[in-house]
Amino acid sequence: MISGEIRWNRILRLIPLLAVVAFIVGCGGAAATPTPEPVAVSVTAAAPSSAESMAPTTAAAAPTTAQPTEAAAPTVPLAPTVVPTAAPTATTAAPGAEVMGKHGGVLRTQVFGFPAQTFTPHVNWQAFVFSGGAWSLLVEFDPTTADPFDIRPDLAKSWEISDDGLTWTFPIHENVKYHDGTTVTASDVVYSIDRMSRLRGSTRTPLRTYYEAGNTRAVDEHTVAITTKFPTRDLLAVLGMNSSYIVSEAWQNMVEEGQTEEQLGQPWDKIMGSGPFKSGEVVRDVSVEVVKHEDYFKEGYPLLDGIKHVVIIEKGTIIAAHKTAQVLMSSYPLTNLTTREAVTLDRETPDVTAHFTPPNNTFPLRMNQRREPLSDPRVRQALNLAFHRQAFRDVVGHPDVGAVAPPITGIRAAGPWGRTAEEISELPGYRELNGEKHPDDIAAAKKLLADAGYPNGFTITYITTPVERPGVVPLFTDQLKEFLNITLETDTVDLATMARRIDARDMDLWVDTSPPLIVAPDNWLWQAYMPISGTAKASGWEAPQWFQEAVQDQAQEPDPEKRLAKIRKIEDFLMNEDPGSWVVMFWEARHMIAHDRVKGFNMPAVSISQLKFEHIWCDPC
Amino acid sequence: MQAYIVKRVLLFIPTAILLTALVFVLMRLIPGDPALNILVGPEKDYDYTQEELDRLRAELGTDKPIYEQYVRWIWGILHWDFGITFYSKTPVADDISRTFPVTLELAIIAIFVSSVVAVPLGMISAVKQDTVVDYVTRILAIVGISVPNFWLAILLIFFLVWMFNWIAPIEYVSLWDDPLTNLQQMAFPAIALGATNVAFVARVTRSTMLEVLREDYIRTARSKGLAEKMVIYRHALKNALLPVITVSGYQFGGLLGGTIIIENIFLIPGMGRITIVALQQRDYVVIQTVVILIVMLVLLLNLVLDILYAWVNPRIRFT
Repeated sequence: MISGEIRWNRILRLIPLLAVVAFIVGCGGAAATPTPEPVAVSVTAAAPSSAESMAPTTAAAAPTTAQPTEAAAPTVPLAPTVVPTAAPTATTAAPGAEVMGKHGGVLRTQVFGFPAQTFTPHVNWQAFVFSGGAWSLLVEFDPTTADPFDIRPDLAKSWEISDDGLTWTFPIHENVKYHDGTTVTASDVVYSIDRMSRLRGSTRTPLRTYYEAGNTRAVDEHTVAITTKFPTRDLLAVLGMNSSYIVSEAWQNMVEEGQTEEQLGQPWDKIMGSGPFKSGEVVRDVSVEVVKHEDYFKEGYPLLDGIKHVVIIEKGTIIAAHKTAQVLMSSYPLTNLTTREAVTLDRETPDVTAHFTPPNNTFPLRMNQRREPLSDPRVRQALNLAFHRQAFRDVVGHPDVGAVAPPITGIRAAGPWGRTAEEISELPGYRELNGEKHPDDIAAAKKLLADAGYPNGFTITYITTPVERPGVVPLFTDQLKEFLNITLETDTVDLATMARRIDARDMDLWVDTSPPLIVAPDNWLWQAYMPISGTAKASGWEAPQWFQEAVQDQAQEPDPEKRLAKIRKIEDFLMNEDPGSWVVMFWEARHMIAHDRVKGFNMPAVSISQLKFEHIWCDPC
Repeated sequence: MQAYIVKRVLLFIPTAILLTALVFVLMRLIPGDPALNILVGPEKDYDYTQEELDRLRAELGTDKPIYEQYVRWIWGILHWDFGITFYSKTPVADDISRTFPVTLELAIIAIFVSSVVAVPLGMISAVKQDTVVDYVTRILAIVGISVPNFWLAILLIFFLVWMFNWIAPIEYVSLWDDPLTNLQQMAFPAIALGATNVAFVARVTRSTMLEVLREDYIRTARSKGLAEKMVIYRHALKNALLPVITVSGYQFGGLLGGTIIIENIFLIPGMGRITIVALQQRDYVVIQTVVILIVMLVLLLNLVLDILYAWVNPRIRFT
């Protein structure tokens, strides 16, 4: 569709009614604040300095240069989750290489909400949609390729791994400037990594799996060395998370002076990074603007002059804004359009596309295990067995798109650790018989309930929010009643009330979807089941000692096959004995809407994947 | 007259105090805890300790007894200090001064639009009593009163996209910067907001017109041979409009409340936008200020209307 196009056949039918409306519409039709049209240019990047050579260098302390490719495997074999597809290369454009795309224009995107009134680096990860372009990372998921598991250096020029596989050395680019003109140093990297492992927030959990604060050091002004607890390649994935920003120590100390850790927060205009965009005008609850960082260290980038994230909450308005090209993208993961709505928008609007991630986002039924009857693992397992998950998948997803993955156990579907649909279809709790819930699972679930002292079922409370996916609550209610004679009393509350009730443990069940951080089993196991995780704390589940040891053990297993076997053992427990913190209902794909005018965009694999917009342009904006 | 004004102003004070207390207490009765919201955050991270929660409550002042919080808040208001938002840590006054004029503009346009449509409708309906025109107008009025304005707003957007593939520019432009664009942005929200008002005012206009048209002085005017237009416009409408104006004034408060939803649908950056977010986050300071502002406006408007009415109609003063 073309913005401003008038459909005459419809108008003719309603001429009198439309006269006044047409006058108003006719007064404008174009955007109120047209942005400068992009200028088609091809920029040839300047040659990097000799210090920024493309090849990884060998550190003085004799670590083996271990290029993370199959051909040049590190001395200590590792079981990587994120598999770089090429040797690490300098991220400044190569001499003579052309910057692909057009410069100029302001890209307008839609965001679902204004997630936080202030922003705290390393704490407010959801806010990355507004500030992602403001930061640089040591390494990043390569946004220029369609391969979602490819990782490349960002601030780092390369990386090396020591012989024992414990120490990672990252030489970083010289003369990288923060938005205030100061230079990024190795001590900033040291400060940032220790900060993200210390502060409450999503970065802390995955990072602390591998890293103990205080084990990063500045080798010299532009080289850092990070020592992990055990050899692991997954450190790269954590450092490539969007919230693993490198921040200025001096700046953070200045803006956070006098603040307690509980209420850390800085105004949006006090964001200071070295990324391709710096903070622009911020209108609370309305829009956040970032503008081009002219001294960005990657020659020729960013392509856009700026990005304006506009807060649109109403679904109808969101769809209208996309259809009329008033916004050209939605900012994942902050959207309230369901999969079906996204698909419909895609189909109804020829120049709008709904892009989907792999099915990485879990939809779990969380359980309060601090009170009966869910304090009994047999009851939890009965629920785990009894749900007919395919029915949820069909309601929430879209049959034509495959946006919702087949249900699987505790480990996510995508990547080398998932299971195939065929494997899953044979698993207890997931299998069907003639398209119906398998009767053996129902029988087993009923027996478990009887053994637990609930042969006739019971009544439990389920809290949900109005923004929950349509159709889910009736399915929960119907299936529990039909299969186990469990009565579900549903309270629909807003998010603040939900938080209060979860804090007071005043419910039995609730759904809280969990976006992935990285595609790595460690991250998932720690995030969902280990005592450090907020999920386990909220549910009250205490992992058995052997389980905790097994999670740690698999992370340190260098042989990929042996590691997978150890993960499967953990899965077997979650599948057959106790589902732990939650019952995984299904894994779903998340979407992002993009207009065809947006170029250079590749859908990230996970919500925290980097999307700095440096390589994206629009034609026209 | 002076005694009446003094009496009304004195009545205003306890009403205002009662309402501030009511708003304050009601906010605290809604489940939810701002400190908890900040800690859990949009990330829904439950990895916090009770000590962290207690410390944050103390910082926000929500751990104090309600009466103490109330006294501090009122004391602040009396010193023109509306407080600092829990989340952005900026003065609420800044948010209000940014958003209030936008909301006020929307409400005024809505009142204007609805009056321009409603008064002629009501008048025609009365003059053409029991004709097809009257029936159609009355049906439209009933529909207008029955249809929720948020639903009408969504229908309007759907209609614009379906028919023109167009919606007003989503980035707000102020009236002073670009009046034409501002009008495009305000027109449809004003229609959605004012629709109920149109119906209501049209009905009031019709009934008062009918009443006036049966008065003796109208019969006298007609018997004097005055033209029907002259009778209706100069004699009937003028007198019928007084209660209509009064009703419109009272409706103004309702329109301000209605902006909360309408602004979010049409992306108008008024008080409604900040109120919705503040409600979700339990940012008491923001919500209290917005509600009190609306309440005070309505009270003031009522006060002015009462005084004006008394001035116009001396019988009011003695009842």
